[in-house]
Amino acid sequence: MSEEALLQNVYDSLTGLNEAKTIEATKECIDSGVEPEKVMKRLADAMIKIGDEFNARKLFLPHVVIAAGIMDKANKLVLEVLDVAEGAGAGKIVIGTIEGDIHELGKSIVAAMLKTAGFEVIDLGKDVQVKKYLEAAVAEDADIIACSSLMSSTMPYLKDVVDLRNDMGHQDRFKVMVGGGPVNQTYANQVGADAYAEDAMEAVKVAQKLVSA
Amino acid sequence: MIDAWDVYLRSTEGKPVSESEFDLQILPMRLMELAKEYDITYDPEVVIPSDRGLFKSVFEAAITLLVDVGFLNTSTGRIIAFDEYELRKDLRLLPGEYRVGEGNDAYCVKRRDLEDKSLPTIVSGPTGAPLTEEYFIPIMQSYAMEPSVKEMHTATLLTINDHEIKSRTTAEMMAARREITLTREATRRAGRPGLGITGTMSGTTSEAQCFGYGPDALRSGCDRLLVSMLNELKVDWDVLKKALFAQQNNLGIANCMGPVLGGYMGGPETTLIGHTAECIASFSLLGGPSINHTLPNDAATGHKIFSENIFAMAGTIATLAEHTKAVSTPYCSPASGMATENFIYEIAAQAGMFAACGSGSVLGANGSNGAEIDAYSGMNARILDESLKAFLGKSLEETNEIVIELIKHYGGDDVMNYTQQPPKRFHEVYNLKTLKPSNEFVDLWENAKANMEATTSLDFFE
Ligand code: B12
Repeated sequence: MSEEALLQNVYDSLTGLNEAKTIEATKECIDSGVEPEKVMKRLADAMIKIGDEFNARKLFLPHVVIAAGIMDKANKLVLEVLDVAEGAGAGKIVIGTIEGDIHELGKSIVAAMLKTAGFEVIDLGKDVQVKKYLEAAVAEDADIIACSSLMSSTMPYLKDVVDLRNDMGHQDRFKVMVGGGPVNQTYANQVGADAYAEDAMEAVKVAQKLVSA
Repeated sequence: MIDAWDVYLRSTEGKPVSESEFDLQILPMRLMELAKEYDITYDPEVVIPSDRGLFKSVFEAAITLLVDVGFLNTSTGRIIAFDEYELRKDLRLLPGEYRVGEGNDAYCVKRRDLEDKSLPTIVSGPTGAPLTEEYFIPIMQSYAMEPSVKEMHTATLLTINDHEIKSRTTAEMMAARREITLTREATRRAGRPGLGITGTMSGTTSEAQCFGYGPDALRSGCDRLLVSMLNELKVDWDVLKKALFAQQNNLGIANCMGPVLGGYMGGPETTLIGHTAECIASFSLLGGPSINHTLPNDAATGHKIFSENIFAMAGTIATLAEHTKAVSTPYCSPASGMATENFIYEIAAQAGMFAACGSGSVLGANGSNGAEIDAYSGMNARILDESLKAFLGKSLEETNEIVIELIKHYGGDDVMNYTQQPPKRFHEVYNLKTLKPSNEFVDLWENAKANMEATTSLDFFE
């Protein structure tokens, strides 16, 4: 099979949401000596396609989450070959919906998109206590703490995350990124967050910038 | 309804299932199978369906879904299973109405049929949107001053004593209580002290929300506690605690659901089945006789005003009207902001659906998806009321044609290119002394009506 055919296989299997085939196609690429960077690029292209189809309502959240999981596994295979630490290309993020808040959907979309961009994402779920973010960030040696808040009454906890990080002396170690319906750039500045993003696509760009800064 | 103790037992003894398996596999798979099995499809030309066969299929598919999948209690990680017989029995026992308010302002909200000629009741207020302390009473009063409004729905207090309200603290308990007492004060100032109130919105936990019940706050036999279920087909102890609290205190229960389109329930056909199922289950699990439900929120944009979302909602309301005695009480929620042209068209399109599909009452309207601060007013209720009236007597087929025109007008047929118009704030469009809308706002509405009359078969001025 030509290199192009092998890569196309990876792309088709992932856009077809077939885990076994994606893994097999990825292995085939590696075994045939296709450059790892090319495989990762094609996996990412497939996820972009899935993201576009989600926005155009041809695919739905379960598809995106499942695809992100498959992509994660395939990426790990490629990284093994590259012999670099896991996620070294992009970075590590702990994410969750803030204390008191169970609005989860936006957070889950952001988490899926970050994964597709190659970030290693640890999803802490919803109603996440302020100290849990910090505990997880320390345990995982994360680069970014990402917090979602959908209500005026849970937004104040965003400041507590920033304050606790600063009190622990970790302002240079972990960047804090915030978002969710009522949160905006002004509020993010007010609570001392390092970054804000309006939606999932922007969240990826902002996270990339934070990690490379 | 299922006895609260039985719900407890099922929650603790049911089959264990992980939330991710439920969300990503069990629910979406069964929904897709059922849509196929019952041949439930979406055609962009039919935003307001009129096929009685479709409603029958959706009803049966929804019951099958509940029996096969059940509800997940996320606190215990166990499935609350349903028996087909008990679901159908609970539906049969529904009263078909609920009473609110007291004295001169007491009111009975009744269910309606498909193409019913009676006017849906308006239950109004900013329906959960955030209001500042300065404007809380004036905005609520402006809604209560509209004669069409027969019950109030509260808003979220943004601050209390000029402090942020933090979830899980005593501040949120005080805020929930204050939100109700301020709303009551607003109804008094409007000369309607007995209006029923549905709340609370300022608290996030069950203890804070239930704290809205008390002397001069939510009253037994008069007001209602909003009990929101979790998406999709899920509850937790917090939800069940609220329902139990209201049941035992003889406080009205407003079962509440906010489905998502493009999320775990998938596209328009499967969201239609899933949302109908959660509405049906809400009677058995929570016990209220009515369903407060939002149009499905679009997972990618958060808006509710697109053709597919309206289809999924219209189908749900019509199925409930045809096959149950539920009082459907949907939220009218434009994405565009108050006092903009699109805001009016978005309200009118939703009103058409509510009027023809058989909603018993309609909540709102808010604006900006309920997310902006102080961008709501009594004019929203007036626009909703007059729009509902203009659609009365129209068949589902005629309504479909008009609604499609209105959707095109505001761009709701094009998900990728729709733009949300930013709102005017209350103080910009209302006289703060008289609490009457500005001439500019009234003219905007009059012109929009004239426009809709010229371009559709709607008649606002009979
Ligand atoms: C669906 C919904 C629910 C569902 C949530 C289900 C779930 N599992 O998520 C249910 C029914 C459970 C619910 C419950 C309640 N809700 Co609610 N809910 C909504 C609704 C309608 C949509 C939210 C949503 O999912 N949007 C779609 C997603 C995709 O958008 P998003 O979350 O904004 O995410 C995007 C961006 O913001 C960004 N983003 C999100 N997170 C992050 C994080 C980072 C780091 C970054 C960079 C970006 C980012 O990217 C995402 C993708 O583009 C909103 C109204 C609205 N339109 O926002 C009300 C709303 C948020 N709810 C509200 C309220 C009041 C409540 C309740 C208190 C109601 C009650 N009385 O019980 C409870 C609260 C319970 C609790 N403790 O949290 C109010 C909040 C008002 C306020 N205080 O500010 C709102 C605004 C509606 C209203 N006007 O009433 N709700």
